[in-house]
Amino acid sequence: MYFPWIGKRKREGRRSGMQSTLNENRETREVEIRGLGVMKVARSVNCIGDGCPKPQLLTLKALNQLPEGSVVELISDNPTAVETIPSMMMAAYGSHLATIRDDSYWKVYVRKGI
Amino acid sequence: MSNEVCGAGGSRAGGVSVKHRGGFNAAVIVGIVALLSAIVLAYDADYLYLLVYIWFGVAYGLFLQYGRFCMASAVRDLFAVGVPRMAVGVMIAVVLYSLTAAAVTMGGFSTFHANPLGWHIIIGGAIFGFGIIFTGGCASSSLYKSGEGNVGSMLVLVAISFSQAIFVSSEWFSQFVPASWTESALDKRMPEELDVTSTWFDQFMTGYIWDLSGGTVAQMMGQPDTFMGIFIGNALLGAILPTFAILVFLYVVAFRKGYMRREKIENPAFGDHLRGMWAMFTSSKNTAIAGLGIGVFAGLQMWVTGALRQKYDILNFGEMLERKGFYEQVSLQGTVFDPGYWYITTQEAQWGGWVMDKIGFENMERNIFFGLENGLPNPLLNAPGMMSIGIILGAAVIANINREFKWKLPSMETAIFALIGGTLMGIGARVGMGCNVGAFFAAVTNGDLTGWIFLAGMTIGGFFGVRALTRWMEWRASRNDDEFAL
Repeated sequence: MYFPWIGKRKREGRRSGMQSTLNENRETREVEIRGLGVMKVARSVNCIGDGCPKPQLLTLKALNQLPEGSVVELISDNPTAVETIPSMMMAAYGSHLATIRDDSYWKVYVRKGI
Repeated sequence: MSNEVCGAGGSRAGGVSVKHRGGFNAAVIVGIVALLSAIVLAYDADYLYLLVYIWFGVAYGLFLQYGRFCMASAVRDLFAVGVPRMAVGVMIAVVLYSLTAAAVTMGGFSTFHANPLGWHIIIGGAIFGFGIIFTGGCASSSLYKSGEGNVGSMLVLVAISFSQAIFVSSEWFSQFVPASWTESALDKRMPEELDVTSTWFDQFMTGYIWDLSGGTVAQMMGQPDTFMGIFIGNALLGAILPTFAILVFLYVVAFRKGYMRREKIENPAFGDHLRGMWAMFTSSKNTAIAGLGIGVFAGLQMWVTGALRQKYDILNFGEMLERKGFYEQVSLQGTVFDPGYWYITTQEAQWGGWVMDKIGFENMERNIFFGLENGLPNPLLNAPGMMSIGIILGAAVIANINREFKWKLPSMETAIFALIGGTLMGIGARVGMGCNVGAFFAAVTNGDLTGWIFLAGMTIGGFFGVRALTRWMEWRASRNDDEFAL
């Protein structure tokens, strides 16, 4: 949970500075990350309002259930959790693809397998 | 790790050049603290003593947030997701801090006292370690996370404050006190108004803890003032060598395999392992920098506090409070808690105790913890409490600058875990005579080996905490028939 009434105004129109754009169509679960192209997101883990270790554990759980090469998206507003994902992926034989910052949360993309 | 976009190879997810108000907010916070400091000084210059604590707190807060200095994460990530990053960072911080602590001790202005050695340390550490898994933060990281706007961490602080205050003053469990403790407590001939045989904690303190002894490595070597004792004994033998052993262990257990696989090394030679160790160290750079910074500032704080005590001719802030007529705030000995360095949990217990006293709980001063040792000062006159507030503000400053500040309301589950875990942390901290800072970090870096015992206890508690939390998550998921219901 987060304060939806705070930051809502800010989020709009501030995308220009970001390095990648998101395809907002949730159905297809495709995102475009600059430098990597369009990726198919197999599963999205929303951890807004959760502290460690839940974002990490749920990301690992999602990766465990998916075949090699799948991309998982983690949405978190906890900076500590977001920061541990790259080193977690090293230990978990996966790859950290990108960390994208929005005004009030981060989106982290990871892939199963190196 | 070849395809990085935001340059987010593990460190900050920053580098986005969007205009934001973070810098402005940070300046406002610093400005308000500076303005209030000026007002307080204009009112009475003696309160410089309090202001020193708050400004050092701000400095600690900056470093803690920058380094994400979190013992909970260190223990938990290792067991839950197999990531040694924070554990390595904390260990490197121990090495760097131990060197500045040794310099401070050499300079003769150290205010450190070794903790007594006993079974309570490992038990307290285990309770504390179990609790931090559920709160998602240790005593120090709950402070800096509060500064990031994390309401869940603020709840942890509330739980730590009140659980300690209740634990040290209530008569619960007093029937479980061994008879030998009661006897020994009575032998101490404490003042009647303390009523030492009434609570569990009083008898634990007077009948058990006070009969134990402890000391730093230098004191055990019989050379508490020499270079040999302080640098070789305290720093090298007491802190650096154990740290090195732990780092090698972490590398072998948690880092080696992943590193060799990533670097595609089939038959690693000794040099490959050295490069692997170095890669492990550098991934924890921020935490290590934080450890060095905190070490330097903790040394400076001991030095400044010592100088101020000389200037005002006091040994403890309680004497100054008495001079100003605040007799109710100090303990029977005329003292308040005034460690002169980085400390976390005791002042939080005093906040809780003060509130309980004000809302009508009786007997808050009739115990060893508040009545004899630490006093029950008004939070506005609580010097180390000011340091804790400073840590929150310092963390808020750097979180705003890095655009990481955000008011975050916890989910119901997170809130309940914060309160339960915070309560366990409070109890563990009192049984173990400190938190991850007072009982572990400040201890081992000053050559007090009991800190390693607390760490062992914390690791055991953390291991079972992770198992319990994973069980809980699985149970919740099976009940909701949806693995991402959490």
